[in-house]
Amino acid sequence: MSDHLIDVRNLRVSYFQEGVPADVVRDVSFHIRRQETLGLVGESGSGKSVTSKSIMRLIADPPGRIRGGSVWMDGKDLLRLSEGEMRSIRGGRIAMIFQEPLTSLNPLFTCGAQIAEAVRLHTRCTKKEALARAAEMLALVGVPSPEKRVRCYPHELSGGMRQRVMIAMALCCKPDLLIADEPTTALDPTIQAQILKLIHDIQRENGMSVLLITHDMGIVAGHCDRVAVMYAGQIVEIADVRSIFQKPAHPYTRGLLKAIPRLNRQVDRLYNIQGTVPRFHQLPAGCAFAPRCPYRRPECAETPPELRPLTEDHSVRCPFDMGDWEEGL
Amino acid sequence: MENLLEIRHLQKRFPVKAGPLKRTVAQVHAVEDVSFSIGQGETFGLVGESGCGKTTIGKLILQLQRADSGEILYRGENLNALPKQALQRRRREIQMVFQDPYGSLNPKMRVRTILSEGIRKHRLLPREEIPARVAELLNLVGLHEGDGEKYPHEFSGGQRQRVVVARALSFSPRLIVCDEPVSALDVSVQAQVLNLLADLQERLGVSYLFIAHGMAAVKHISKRVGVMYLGKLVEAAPTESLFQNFAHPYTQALLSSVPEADPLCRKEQIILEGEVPSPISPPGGCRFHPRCRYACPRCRTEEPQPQAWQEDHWVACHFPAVFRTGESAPAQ
Repeated sequence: MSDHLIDVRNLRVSYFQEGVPADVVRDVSFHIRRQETLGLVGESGSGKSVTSKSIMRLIADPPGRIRGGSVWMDGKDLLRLSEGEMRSIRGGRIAMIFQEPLTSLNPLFTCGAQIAEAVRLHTRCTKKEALARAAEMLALVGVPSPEKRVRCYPHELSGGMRQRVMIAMALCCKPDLLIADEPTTALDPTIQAQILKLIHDIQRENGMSVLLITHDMGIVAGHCDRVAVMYAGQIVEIADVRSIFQKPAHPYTRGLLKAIPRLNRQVDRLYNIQGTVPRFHQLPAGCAFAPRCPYRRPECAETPPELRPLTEDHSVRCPFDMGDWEEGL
Repeated sequence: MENLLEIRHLQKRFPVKAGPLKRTVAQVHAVEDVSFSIGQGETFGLVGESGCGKTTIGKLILQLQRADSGEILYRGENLNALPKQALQRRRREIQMVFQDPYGSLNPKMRVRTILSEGIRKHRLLPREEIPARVAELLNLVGLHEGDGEKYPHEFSGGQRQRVVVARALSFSPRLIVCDEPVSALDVSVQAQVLNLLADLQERLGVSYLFIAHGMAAVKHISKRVGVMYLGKLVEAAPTESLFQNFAHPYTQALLSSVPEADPLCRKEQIILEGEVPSPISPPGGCRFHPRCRYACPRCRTEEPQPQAWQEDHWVACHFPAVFRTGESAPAQ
C-alpha cells in the first residue's frame, strides 16, 4: 500500500449557467500523503474551493456537476460511492472547516449540541455521553471553561472561539483528512497564529493529513509540506514547499511571490501581474495564463501546456525553462 | 515639515444601552487619548486587531462621528469646533476609501454618475466641464474613458476599488482615509492597488491615513506607523524604526505573528495567550497586561504614558524593549 491517503485523478467539475457548462476545475490530479499538509493556493475563482468540495462531494447539483475523474481513498473511488457510504466518510474520515465560522454554525443551537450531533452521527452513544465528549473536544482545542461554553450559542463567542468550535466539531471523530478552507482569513493576526498552531499540534498528535486552502503565501511557507498552485481551474505547479519558494518554475508562481509585500524586504514598487484572472466562460485557447504572462511566446496561445515533471516531486504546467529564479527581481 | 493633520488626545466612547428605558449601562472605550500627526504628502499607517478603534479614528477624522473630546487639527483648524458650513468646505478635502468595493458603489449608477455626483453636489465645476473631469479621473486611476458608461457589476474587484479611489479623487482631496483598502482583494490585485496609491501620492501630493491589519502592506506604503491596542496608541514611529526597533511587547507579538513567505525563515513566533479583552471594561493599568508575558505588578495598576523612546519613536510601556535585554521586567 502506498503512503498516499487521497489520490485525486483527472478531476473535472463544471458549473452550468443557463445550460452552458463552464469548466471550473479542469483535469486536476494530485495526492495527499499520510500526515502531511498539502497547501492549495490560488486567487479567488481559481477553483481551489471547488476542488476541495469535490473530494467531499459537496458540489450542489445543479448548478455544478462533477463530470469526470476519481478520488481514491483506501482503494475506493469516493465519487462512485452511494450517498449513504459517503455520509459516513463526511465528518467521519474526512472533515472540513470553513472560512467564516459564523455562517457555518447554526445560530439556533448551542455549540455543545452541534458538536454532540456530529459525535452521535458517527458513533453509538447516548446524548449525555456525546455532550461530555463535546466538552472534552472544546477543552482539547483550547476553549477556556469548556463546561460553560457547551451551553453557549455561536453569537456569544468571538471569531477565534467560533473557529475553535468548528475545529472541535471537525475533529471529534478523529478524521484522517482535515480540509481547511481559508480557516484563518477572517481572523486577526494574533488569533490566526493561535489557530494555525492548534491545527498543527492536533495534526501531529493524531497523525492526520491536512489540505490547507489559502491565498496567503506566508501561511503556506510556515505550515505546508507540499504546495499546489492553482490558476483558472488547473494546477499550474505542484512541488514541495522549498522548491516552490526557491525554484518556482511557473511564471504565475513567480509573479505571486513577487507581488506580495514582505516584512523582511523593502522594495519601491510591488511587482504587478498584468491584467486579471480570466472568466471561465472566456478561457484562452492555449495556456490560461498566457495573456498575463511576461514570458509568453506565440505558441502559448495555441496549445494548452501539459503538467510536466521537473523532479520527482515537482511538476509544472509550462513547457519552457524560465532559467534560475532570483528573488527580488 | 508642516503637519497636514494633527490629532491630539482624541477620545470617543459609545454608550451601551440596555433595558426597557434604554439606559446607558456601560461604555465602549473605542478611542482613548490618541495623538499623532500626518505630514503633507505622507502616509501614516495604523495597524491593530479588529475592535482596537482604528476605523473609529478614521470616522472621527471624517467627522462621520463626533469625538467626545480632543482636537483634530486639519491645517491648523480644529475640525471638532468648526461651524457647519466651514466644516463642509474642509470636509471636501478629506475623502475616504472603504474596504469593500462591492458595498461602497451604488449598483444602479453608471460609473460616470458615481464620479460626477460629488462634483455636482458641491458645485466644484461648471456643468460642461464635468465629462472631461470624469475622463481625467478614469485615466488617473488606470481605467479607460469608455468605462464611465459601465455599471459597477461589470468590473472586477480591483477595478471597482479603482473607481472608489477615483471617486475620492474627484474632490481633489489633500487627505484620503483608506480603511483596509486592499484586504478584500486578491494578492496580485492588491499589488496593483498599492502601486496605484503610491503613484497618485507622487503625482498629486495627497496624504493617506492607511488603516489595515496586514502588516506587510502597511510597511510597504507607510512612512510612519502607529500600532493600536484596545483604543490606545501603544507605539508610533517612522516605519523603519518601528519594524526594526519596536519597543512595545504587543508590537513584538503582532510582528511575530505575521507568517513570513519563506519556508527557511524560522523566526520565533510569539503566540499571545487569550483574546483581546472587551473594550467595554478594558483592563486597568496597562491595557495589554493580561496578555503580556513581561507584565509585572506596576503594569496592573499604573497606566503607562507615551514616552519618547528614541528620536521620533513613541511607546506607551513602562519597560520599553524589555524583551531585548533578555531579562524579565524589574519587579516593583
